[in-house]
Amino acid sequence: MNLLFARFKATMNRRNNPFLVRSLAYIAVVQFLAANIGARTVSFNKDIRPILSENCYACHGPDAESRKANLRLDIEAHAFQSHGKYDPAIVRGNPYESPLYQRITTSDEDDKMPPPDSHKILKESEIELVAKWIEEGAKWEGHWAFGQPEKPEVPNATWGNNEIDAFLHEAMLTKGLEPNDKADRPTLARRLSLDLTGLPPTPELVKQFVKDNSPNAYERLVDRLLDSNTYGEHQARIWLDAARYADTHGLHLDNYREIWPYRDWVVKAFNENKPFDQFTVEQIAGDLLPKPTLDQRLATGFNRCNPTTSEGGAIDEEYRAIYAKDRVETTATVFMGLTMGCASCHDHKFDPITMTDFYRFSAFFNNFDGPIMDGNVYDTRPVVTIPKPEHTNDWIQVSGEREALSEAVKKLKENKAASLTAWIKDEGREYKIFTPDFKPSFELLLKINNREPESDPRKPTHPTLDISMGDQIDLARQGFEFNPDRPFTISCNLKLPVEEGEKQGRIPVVRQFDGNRGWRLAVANSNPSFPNRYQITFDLVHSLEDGNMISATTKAQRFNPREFSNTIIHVTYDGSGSVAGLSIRTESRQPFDYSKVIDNLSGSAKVESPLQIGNFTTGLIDPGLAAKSYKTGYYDKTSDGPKTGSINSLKIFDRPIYPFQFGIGDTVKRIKELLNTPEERRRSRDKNQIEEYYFTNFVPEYRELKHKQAINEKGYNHIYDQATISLVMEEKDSPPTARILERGEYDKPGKEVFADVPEFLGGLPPNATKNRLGLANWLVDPRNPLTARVTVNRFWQNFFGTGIVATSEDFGIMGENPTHPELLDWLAIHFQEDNWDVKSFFKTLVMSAAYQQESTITPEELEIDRDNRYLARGPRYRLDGEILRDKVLFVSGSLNSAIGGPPVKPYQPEGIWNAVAYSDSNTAHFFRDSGGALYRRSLYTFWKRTAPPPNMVVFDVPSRENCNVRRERTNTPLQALTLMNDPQFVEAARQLAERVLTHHGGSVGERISKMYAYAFGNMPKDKHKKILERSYRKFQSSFIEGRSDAKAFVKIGDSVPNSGHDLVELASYTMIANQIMNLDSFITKY
Amino acid sequence: MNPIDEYLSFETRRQFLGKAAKGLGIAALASIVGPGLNGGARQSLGFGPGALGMTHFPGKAKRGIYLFMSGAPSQLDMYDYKPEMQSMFDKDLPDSVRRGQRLTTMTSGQARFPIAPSIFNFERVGNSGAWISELLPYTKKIVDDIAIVKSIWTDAINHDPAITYIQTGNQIPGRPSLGAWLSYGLGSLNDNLPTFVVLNSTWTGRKTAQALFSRLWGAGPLPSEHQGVSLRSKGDPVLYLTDPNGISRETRRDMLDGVNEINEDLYHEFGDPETHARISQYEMAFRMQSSVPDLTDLSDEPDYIFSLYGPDAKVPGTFAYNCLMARRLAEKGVRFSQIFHRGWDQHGALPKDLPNQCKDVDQASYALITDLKQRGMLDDTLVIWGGEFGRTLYCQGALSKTNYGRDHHPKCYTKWIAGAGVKGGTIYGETDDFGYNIVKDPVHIRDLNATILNRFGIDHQQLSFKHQGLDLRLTGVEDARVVNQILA
Repeated sequence: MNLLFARFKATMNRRNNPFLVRSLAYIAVVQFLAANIGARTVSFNKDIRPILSENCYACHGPDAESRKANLRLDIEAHAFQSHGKYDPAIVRGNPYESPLYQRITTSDEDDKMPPPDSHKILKESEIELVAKWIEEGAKWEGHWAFGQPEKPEVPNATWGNNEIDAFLHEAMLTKGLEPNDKADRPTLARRLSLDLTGLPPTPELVKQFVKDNSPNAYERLVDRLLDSNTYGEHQARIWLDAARYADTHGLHLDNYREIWPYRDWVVKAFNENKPFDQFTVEQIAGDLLPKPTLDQRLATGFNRCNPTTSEGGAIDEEYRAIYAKDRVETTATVFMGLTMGCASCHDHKFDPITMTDFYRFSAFFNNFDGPIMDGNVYDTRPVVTIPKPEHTNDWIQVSGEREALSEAVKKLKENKAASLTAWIKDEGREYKIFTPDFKPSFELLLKINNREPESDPRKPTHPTLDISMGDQIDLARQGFEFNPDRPFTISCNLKLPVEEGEKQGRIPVVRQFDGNRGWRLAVANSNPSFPNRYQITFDLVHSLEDGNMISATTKAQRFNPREFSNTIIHVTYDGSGSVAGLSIRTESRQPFDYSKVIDNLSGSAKVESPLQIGNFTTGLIDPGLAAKSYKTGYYDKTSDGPKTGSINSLKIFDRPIYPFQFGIGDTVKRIKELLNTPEERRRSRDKNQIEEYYFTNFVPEYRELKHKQAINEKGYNHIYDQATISLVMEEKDSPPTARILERGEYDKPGKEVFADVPEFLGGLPPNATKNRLGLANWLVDPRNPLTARVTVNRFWQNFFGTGIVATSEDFGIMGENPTHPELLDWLAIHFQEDNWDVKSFFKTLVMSAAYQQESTITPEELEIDRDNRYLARGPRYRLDGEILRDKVLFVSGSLNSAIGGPPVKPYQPEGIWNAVAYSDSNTAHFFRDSGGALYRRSLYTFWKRTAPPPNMVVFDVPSRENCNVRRERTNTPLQALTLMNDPQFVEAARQLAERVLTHHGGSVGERISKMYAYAFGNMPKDKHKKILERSYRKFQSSFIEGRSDAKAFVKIGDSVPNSGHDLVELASYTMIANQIMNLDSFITKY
Repeated sequence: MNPIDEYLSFETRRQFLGKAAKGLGIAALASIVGPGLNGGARQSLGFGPGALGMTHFPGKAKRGIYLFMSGAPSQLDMYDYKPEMQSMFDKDLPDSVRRGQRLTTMTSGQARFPIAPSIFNFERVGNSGAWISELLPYTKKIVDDIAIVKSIWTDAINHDPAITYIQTGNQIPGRPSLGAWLSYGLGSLNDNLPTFVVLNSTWTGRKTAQALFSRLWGAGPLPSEHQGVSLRSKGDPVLYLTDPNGISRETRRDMLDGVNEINEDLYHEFGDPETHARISQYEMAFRMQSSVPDLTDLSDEPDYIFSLYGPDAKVPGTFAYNCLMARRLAEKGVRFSQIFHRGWDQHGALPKDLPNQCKDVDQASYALITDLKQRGMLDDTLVIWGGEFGRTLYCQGALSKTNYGRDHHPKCYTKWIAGAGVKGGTIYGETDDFGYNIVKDPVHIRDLNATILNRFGIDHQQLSFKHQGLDLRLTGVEDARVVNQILA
C-alpha cells in the first residue's frame, strides 16, 4: 500500500473515524517496517534520540525558557507523564494512543509537529522508527556518553593483533567488509613516522626496517620513533590547536604576546610522556598545586591563550564575560566534549546543561587575578619571568628587594592612612609642595618662528632665555654656567612628529659639541614597523675619535604623539663618569633600559661650544645606521611651522632629580579640584592622585622609599626586559564565584553562584576544593565519564583520520554516535588503567593490525564505507599543512632541528600583515627572519591570529581564534598553487636537488631514484621513474633552449646554491623535486 | 576562452585531461554536499553548485559586491541630514535623547556632550528628493538607483566586535562570513576563479586606521574553500599564483603532465577518488594561472571606462581600481566580492579627513553602479555600501566652528543597497532630529543580512550549518526580517 496515501487518508478522516485511522496507518507501518528495518529492535540511543534531538528538543528539551506545553522529551519520566493539561506524550506499546505519534503524523497545520515554521520535516522512515519504537515498548536509554564506561568484553578475535582489531573486525563483518592486507614496510615506516613525529623517515631508517628480520622489528621502530624529540613537537602542534595557542592577542591591535614557553612546555610534556591526567591538572591548575614549580606554572598558559583585547571603549565586564565563556568552551570542548558555551544565554537546548551550570563552571575562571584589558603589551600579567642565565642571582635579589619595598610602601600607607583621611576631611587643610633645591640653573623657552611655546604657561622662576629653533647660544656670554662633568639634569619638552612618514630617522634635540667633545641628546625612530616607538640617545663624550665616552640608547618606547601632546624627556646624570650614573626617562615613568651602551669615559666632556637647539647633525655611533636614518630639517626654522615636531622648552638643572620630584606644576590646583569633587564622584585614579600628592609632599619616609624604588626599578627592568616572559594563571584569594548573566549579557548580572561542575555529572565531590584545582582533579577522576573517552577519541582521530565519534568536539546529544561504542569504552578504560600513559596508548593504536593495513580501496568498499569509519583499509588522507612544510624541509636536508624558543618568521608574501593590521599594531609589518630561522618546524612559526601564515591557512589550519579539535580537510587549487610556487617549497626543492647532486653521482635515473628515496624513503616504481626521467629531459631542454631560465630559478630563496653545480642540471633536478613534492602520494598519508 | 586555454585545447591529450578534470569536478560534488564529517576531503573553491542545490525561491541576485567602509563613516555628514542641529551648535545633547546609552570609554569621561552639527552642505537630489551631502557629488547622480536605509543599527560599539558582527553574525570570532555563506550555499558560477573575492583598498584619510582581520572573510567552521580569496594589487594577485622566476608555462605544463600521469597511476593502485580530485584541482590551478592575470590586466578597458571611474582607477589598490576590478569579477562569474576601504574612524579632525575619504569612494561607487547598469548587470547584481556602525552627533574632543570629531554610534546609521530588484530611489527609516535614535523602521544588521540573502533566493533561516550541536546561521538565533519595503 502506498504509505503516503494511507497517511493522507488517515489524517483526513481522523476526527470522523478514529478506528480507520489506526487500522490504515497500522497496516502501512507494518508493511513498511517489514521491508526496511526487518526484525531488528529499535534502539533509543541509535535511532530515536537523534530524531528527537534534531526535531523536538529545541522546544521540548532541557531549555526551560523555550519549552512549550511544559513537555520534555529528553527525560524519560517526563515523556511518560501528563504535563499540564496534556496527557502523557508516549503510551508504551501503542503509537496510535501516543500524542507524540499523532502529532508527527497529522496533516492538521495547527497540530503538526514539528511546527511548519521550524522548517524541520520528519522523514517517512523516521516516523516509522518512532512508531516501531513505541510499539516495542518505548524502551528508554540514557545518553551513551554521560554514563560511566564499563569495560566491555572483547569479542573473540579471528583477525588482528590486539583488542582494537577484535572490536573492529566484528563491526567490519556486519558491514560485509574484509580487512586489507598488511602494508609493505616502507609504507609502514612512512605512516608511522608521519603519525608519531610529523616527519617522514630517512631512507636509512626505511632500509634498516626493511632489513630487520627480528619478529619485533615493527615494534622496535615504534619505540624508536616514540623516543625521538620530534615526537613531542608533532603531538604538541596538534594540542596547540585545542589550546588556541598563538603569538598575538587576537583582537583589535593584535599585538605580540609572549607565551611561547607554554608551547615549549607542551612539547616537553609530550616528550617526557607526562601522564595525561597530570598533563591536564597542570594546565588547568598548575598554579594551585602545592609549591608549584616553574613548569607547573607555565602549564597554566593553557588558559591564557584566549584572544584578548584592549580596544579603546571596550568594557571590562563585557570582556570578563567573553573571556570566561571562551575558557568554559575550551575546557568543555577539549576535556569533556561538551558544547557548554551554548548555555551562556539560555539552558542548553539539547544537553542537560543549565545556565546555572554554565555560570558555575565559568566561576572557576572568574577568579583569575589579572587585568581584563591586555594593555596591548606582550606581558599582560600575571606572568612568570625567566631571566637570562647570567641574571639569575641578581634577579632573585632585585625582585626580593622590590617586594620588600612595595611591602614597606604599603605598610607606610596603612600607618598613615588615618592622617591622610584627616587631611582630606580637614576643610582648612594645608597644601604644600615639597621642593627640594632643584631650581634649574637656567631655562630656555623656545619660540618657533617667533610664536610662543604652546605649553608650559607657568612663569619661570629662574633665569630664562627666549630662543628659536636652530639657534646657537653661547652660554658663557649669556651668563650661564653648565658643567657636564658634574651632576645635572636636562629636561626638555618635545613635540614628536605626528605624521607617519616623518617619524623615521633621528630627531636632534640639543647638544653642546665641538665635533669631538661635548654632549648631545637625540630621539630616533629607525624601525618603520613601529612608527610610534622611539629611542632616546644621550652621549657624553671626552673624545669621539678615541671612543672615550658614555653613550646610552634606550630601548624603543611607545609614545603616542598626537597633534597637541608633548613628550617630556629627562636625562639625569650623577657625575660618576659611568653609564650606570645616567638615567633617561619620560615624565611619570621609570627610567628606561638601554639597548645599546658605550661605557668608556675617563676625561672631561666640558666644551666652550655654543648650545645648539635642534637642526644639527647628530653623528650616530653606528655609521651604517647614520646613513640610513639621519634626516635634516626636522626643526628647520625656515620651514612653515613645526609640522614635524619641535622643542617647546629646555631646562638644565645642576643636580640629579628623581622622578617623584617632577610634575609639581599645576599639582595643587588639580588636587584642589579633585577634593572639591564629592567623594562618591571621585574615580579610583582621582583617589590615587590625591593619595600620591599627600604622601609625596607630607611624608618624607615615603619620598625615600620612592627614591629607593626608582633605583630598584631600574635594576629590575634591566633584567625583566631581557628575560623571557610567559603568561600564566593566578588566583584571587576570594572563593570563585560568578553571576548568572541574564541572556548572557554582561550588563545584566543576576544571582551569584559558586564554582562547580554541571549538576547532571554529579557536581564536584563534597571534599573537593571548589576552584580550578578541584575542577582539574574532577576532570581526571575515574568517575568522570567524559575526559578519557573524549581524549582517546581525539587520539584515534589523529591516527585514523576520523574519531570513533566523528564529532570529536561534541559528545553531547547532538554529536554523532560512536561507530564502535564498545571499542571506545574499552580504549577509555584501558587508557586510565594504563595510568593515562600517552605513548603507551599510541603504541597500542599503531600496533593494531587495522592501523597497519594497506590503504587501497575497492569500488565496493568505497560504496559501503566511503569515509573509512570501519577501517577495513589503512588510513589515507591529506597531510596537515604543517607536516607538508616540515616534510619538504626535512627531505631537502634543510630542516633546522632546534627545539623551542621564540617564534620565527619564515617566508611569507609581502603585505599579508599590513594589508589588514591596525597601523599602530606592533605586528603591522612583517619582517622576515633569515638564516636558520627560515627552516624551523612549522609549530615555531610566528602565529598572528588576525592574519595567519597564508601557506598554512590554505591547508585548513585553524586561525587559533578559538579552540579547535578537528580540522577540515579540503582539496583546492590554492593548495596546488602553494605547493608549486611558494618560495619555501621551491627553495626546498632546490635544496633537495643539491643534496642529490652533491652526494650522489650516477645517471639521471639513479639520481632521480635517490631524490625519490629522500622524499618517500624507498625507490620509485620503474613506471614512475620513467615518467620522472621523461620530465627531466623536458625540463632540461626547456632550460637549455632558454624558454625557462635556470639562473633565475635556482636563485629563489635566501640560501645560495653551491656554484659548483651545472645550472641547467640543478634547475632541472629542482623541477623534478618540485614535481615529486606535488605528487598525490607526497601530499597524502597512506 | 583565453589564448592559453585555446592553445591547450588544441592538444588532444591535454584536452582530454582538461575534460576529465571537469567531469571529475562535478562528480566530486557529492562530497561538497555530503555530510561534513567524513574522512575524505572536499574539493574546489566552491566550484559547482552549493550546499543548497537549489535556492529556496527564485533569487534576483546572481552575484554581489559589498563596498565596505571600515571604521564607520559619519552618516551625519553624508546622508542623514539634520538641519535643526545648526542652531544647536555646542549645546548639550539632551539626556532625554541619549537615554543613558552605553558610550565608549573614549567619550564616557567627557564632562559634556556638545552637539556638533555637520559643517557640510546638503542638497535634495533625484526623484526621491534624498538629502545628500556636498561630499558626495557623484553619489547624487545615482540616488534614484539606490535604496538609502537610514535606520541601520547594531549592538556592538567597538570596531573589532562590530565589524566581526556585521560580517559573520556574531561579535566573537569564529563564524563564517557573509561571502563564505554565499559560496557555501550557492556555489560557483565559474570554473577558474574563486567564488568569494576580497579586495583591500588604500585610503587617503588619517593613516592610523582600524584593523581588518582575516576572519572577516573567513569560513569559520565551513570548509575552508569557502573563505574569501584576497585579490591583491601588489605581488601575486592571488597568493602563490605565479610560477617561480625562470619557469615558463610550458615547463609548468610539463611538470603537471608528469604529476598527473603518476597520480593517475596512483589512482589505479589505490582507488582513492581523492587522487582524481587532486588531479582536477591541479588543472584548475593551472587554469587560474592564466585566468587571474587575464582578469587583473585592465588594458582591455576602454578610456571611457577609466574616465567613468576616475583617475584612481589606474592606480592599483585604490578603491576606484578595486571597483573596476569588482565589475570585472562580476562579469566573469565571481559570486561575491567585497571591497574594504579603511580610514573612516574620525574621532577627531573629521572636517579635514572625511572629504578625503569621500573622495576616495564617491566617484568609484557611482561608476560601479553606472557601469553595471549600462551593461544590464545591475538587475542581477546586488551592491551594498556602508560600514559597521555610525557616529555620534555630539563632539568628541574640542568642538569649534571648523573642527570636531565624532565617537562610535551603534544606535543608528546609514547604508545603501542597490541592484537585484532593490527599489531605487527608496529612502527607508528615520532617525530623530538629533540623528541619535531611530524613530521609524529600524533595520538591525541581522535584518540587513537577511535581506541580502533574500536577494540571492535564500531564506536566512534555512541556510544553516551544523556545528558543535548548533545550526549556525548568518543571522544567528534571534529574529531577523527581510526588509521587503526596499524591494521592488
